Amino acid sequence: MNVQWCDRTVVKENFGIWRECSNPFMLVQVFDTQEMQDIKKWIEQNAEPYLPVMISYPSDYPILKNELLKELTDELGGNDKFPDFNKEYNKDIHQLIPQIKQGVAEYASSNGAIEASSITQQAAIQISPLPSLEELRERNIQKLLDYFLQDFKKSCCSLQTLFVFQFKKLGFKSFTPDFKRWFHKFCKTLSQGGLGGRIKFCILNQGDLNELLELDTDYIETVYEELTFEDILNETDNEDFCYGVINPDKNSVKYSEFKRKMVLWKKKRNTKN
Amino acid sequence: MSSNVKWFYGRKNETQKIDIKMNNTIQNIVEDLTPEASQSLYLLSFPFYLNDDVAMNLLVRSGLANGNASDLINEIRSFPIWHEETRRSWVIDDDVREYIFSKLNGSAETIRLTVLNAMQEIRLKPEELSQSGNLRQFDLQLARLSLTVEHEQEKGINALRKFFNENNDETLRVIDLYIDENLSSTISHIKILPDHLQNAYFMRGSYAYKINDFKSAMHFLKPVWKRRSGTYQSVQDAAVAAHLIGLIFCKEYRYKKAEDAYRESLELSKQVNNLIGQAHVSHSLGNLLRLNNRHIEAKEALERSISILEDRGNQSDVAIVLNSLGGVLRHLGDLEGAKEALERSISILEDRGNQSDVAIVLNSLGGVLRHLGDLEGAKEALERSISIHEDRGDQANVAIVLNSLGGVLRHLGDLEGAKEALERSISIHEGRGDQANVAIVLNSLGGVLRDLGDLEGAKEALERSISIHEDRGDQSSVAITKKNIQNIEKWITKIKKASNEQTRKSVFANFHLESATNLFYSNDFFGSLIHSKQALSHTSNQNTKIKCYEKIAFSAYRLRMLDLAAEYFEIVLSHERDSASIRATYANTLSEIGEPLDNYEYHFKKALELDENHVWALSWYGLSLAREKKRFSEAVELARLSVKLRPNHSALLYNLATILMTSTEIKDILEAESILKQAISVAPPGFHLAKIALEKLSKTNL
Repeated sequence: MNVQWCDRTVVKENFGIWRECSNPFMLVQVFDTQEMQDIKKWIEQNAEPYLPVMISYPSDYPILKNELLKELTDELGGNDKFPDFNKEYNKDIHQLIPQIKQGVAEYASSNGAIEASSITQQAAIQISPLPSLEELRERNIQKLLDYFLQDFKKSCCSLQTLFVFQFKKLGFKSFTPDFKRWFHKFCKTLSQGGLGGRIKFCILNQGDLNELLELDTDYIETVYEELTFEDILNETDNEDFCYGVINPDKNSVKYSEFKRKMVLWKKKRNTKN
Repeated sequence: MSSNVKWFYGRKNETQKIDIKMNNTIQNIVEDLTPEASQSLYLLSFPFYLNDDVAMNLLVRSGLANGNASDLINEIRSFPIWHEETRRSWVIDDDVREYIFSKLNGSAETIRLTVLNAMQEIRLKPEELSQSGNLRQFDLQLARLSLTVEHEQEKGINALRKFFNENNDETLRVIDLYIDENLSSTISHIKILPDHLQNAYFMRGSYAYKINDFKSAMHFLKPVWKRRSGTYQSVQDAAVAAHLIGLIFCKEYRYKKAEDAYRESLELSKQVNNLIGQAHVSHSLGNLLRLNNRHIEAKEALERSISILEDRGNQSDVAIVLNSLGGVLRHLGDLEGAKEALERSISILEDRGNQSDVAIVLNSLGGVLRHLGDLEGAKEALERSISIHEDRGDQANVAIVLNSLGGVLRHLGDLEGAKEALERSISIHEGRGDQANVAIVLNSLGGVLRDLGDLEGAKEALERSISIHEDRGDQSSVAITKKNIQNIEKWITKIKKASNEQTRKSVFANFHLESATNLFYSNDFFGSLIHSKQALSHTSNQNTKIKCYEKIAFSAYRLRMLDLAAEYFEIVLSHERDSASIRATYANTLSEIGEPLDNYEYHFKKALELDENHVWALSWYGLSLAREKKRFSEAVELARLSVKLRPNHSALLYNLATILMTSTEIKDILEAESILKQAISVAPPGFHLAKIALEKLSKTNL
């Protein structure tokens, strides 16, 4: 199937401007999963001179930090320009996870759970539980990230890389605070790590962008679910078809509905021809 | 129970009507497909994630593909009705799935089961999944699919429980989502939860607790605790649930209920022999008892916790409980014990490289060292704590420790340093909008400014503190502060009225002397010492000077600064100021310093000459004899007389018991035991020495 992103002139233009500017971050709010996929394909085809690295995660699947790093490495590796992920290390982390059998009991570790009224009490019982293996896992993930950054700097320093993240369904806001913090830090570290100007991040998100604003940028776009008559006319160049598709009350049509109808219509037209 | 309504998580609002236009489009697409592709689409709509391997496998195993699985998949993928999820996986669009489920007449359990069985078969041959990347991902979706088939739910939940035990926040979030999609949350009709439901409730409740949603945590955990079956796992989960519920009660200040929950949790943990569980609950119980000023019981609970954790080699948890124990021992007056516990805690945390916790325990240690009179040590500990918090950018904790440091610097006599620390603390708390702490530190600052003689500044700080307390509806500490302000205002007026520098100085001296007296009687001996010294520096009046020497001597004695106390008692006596109290306290000071009896016995005798019924002269005289192991019967007689003159005074009783305990006679020891019990029964809150002594005695083999 010929994958195209239907005409979103303004956003496409702004993407072009951002690609040339020095700000590493672009945030795009998208309401339709189908359109999200199409934007991704469009960016992949229009990323030059950047090497696009596409990462997609729905919010009803857990994003583990180490798995995200692995995904990134696989994507980079897929371009034959990035060394293999440190496989041994990744295996270690997986082995570590099943060891955390006491997970449940560890929630119950009591410190920090009692509110304190005075400063002294507060300080005295403020220590949070120390699930030691969890701590170890976090430390290992930090090591993994260090390896990744090292490899990335070595292998990609001559390249310009564009990371495209897609957060679908409930979007970025539904992830755990810990993951969100880590992700912000990850993006910032990567964009500042002596590679400034050569790395960009385009984040496509379903749902509001509030929790991504910490990635300071002026390039924030919203792509609504609906397409106007003009949008679809540009795409198909056939008024009759467009009149048949558009919802006359709103003078608009849902992105995925239009997309599907267009594919059916083109197929039928091709068969007739 | 299972339904196809909720399991489109992240799908549009459920109340939204099905989009008819969209449905027509999808219908057109389905009609456009070959019958085999259309059948395949129905099947492939069930898994949450697909990749080509899995999709082909499913079509082959279900008998839909006759060697053309790949063509069928391509045909389906020629329409925009699927999405790439990761590079390796894809999924049928939610609109399409919704359409298909509506056509399948309700829950379509038969197809779901077919898909589930096929996926379970695939799972048995992991080599066939080689291209599908992650087994973990496959297992998760298998569990999720199981939840949608009623008689497979138990399996699904058990599978999720394995992931749950990874204790990874992101995984927990998603498990919570999956269970919420498929399991009804009304179980009011079920008296004893079947294991899988209990398991599901446990996971949801624990997760809710973890994300601080205490209302939901209570909703899910209560049945886990109260409606458990008798299986090992259910009792184990019930124990954790009761513990978490106890913690929630604690946050709501419902201490009695919290204690009940903890005690039942302990009982349940014992039933399943879960030692780590017992250690954790004992720790919580210890903290709770400590908050309720039941320090002896708290100590027992914390020691029990430490002993279990040590046996299990769980050092990092030992370090945390040691920190709590340090706090309890400090309240019990066992400062050396507290110091030891905290230093051990720090050493473990340092070994583990856990700097943020080291910083917190250093703050506790600073407090203990301060009470031990090791002010330089306290200062060093607090400054280290601040430096670690600063390195970690933890401003809230920097501000908290600066408040403690202010107190220590004040006691070191570095009033300007104290002022600076407190002002910095206030500024950080203000920056964070933490008004409650601003008010607390302003109160300390008021004290330091008063020490410095900056009465206007002190008044302003205290007034600001009151205003914040009042804004927050916290009346508890307002009354005392108001009284302090009135007192300061009185002195400001007097100072303003002073006509010359000489009078001004004299007014200041009187102000400091009065402050010293007030602080002494409100047990702030450091404050009393500072103000006595300030008064001394302002006065030229001989009489006032002697009063200052006396205040310094008594304050230093109460602060256990025994050398300083001895020095000033001598000065007082050299100015021919004499009293039974001065003589008795001086003598006891020398005795405690370790001077030989001959160097101070004279002062005890002199004290009793001045007042033959001076109970402290009698009691301390006896104690000193016992300390020197001399004239045992005389020592006992003296102490007995003190008790006779003032019966039911716990400290006097304690001294008598201490003397008796130096004896080797069993009858004396038994009497000591009974006197200690009497002392405990009349002890005011905060007097724990008798309890500790009794505890030691009970451990001694007679």
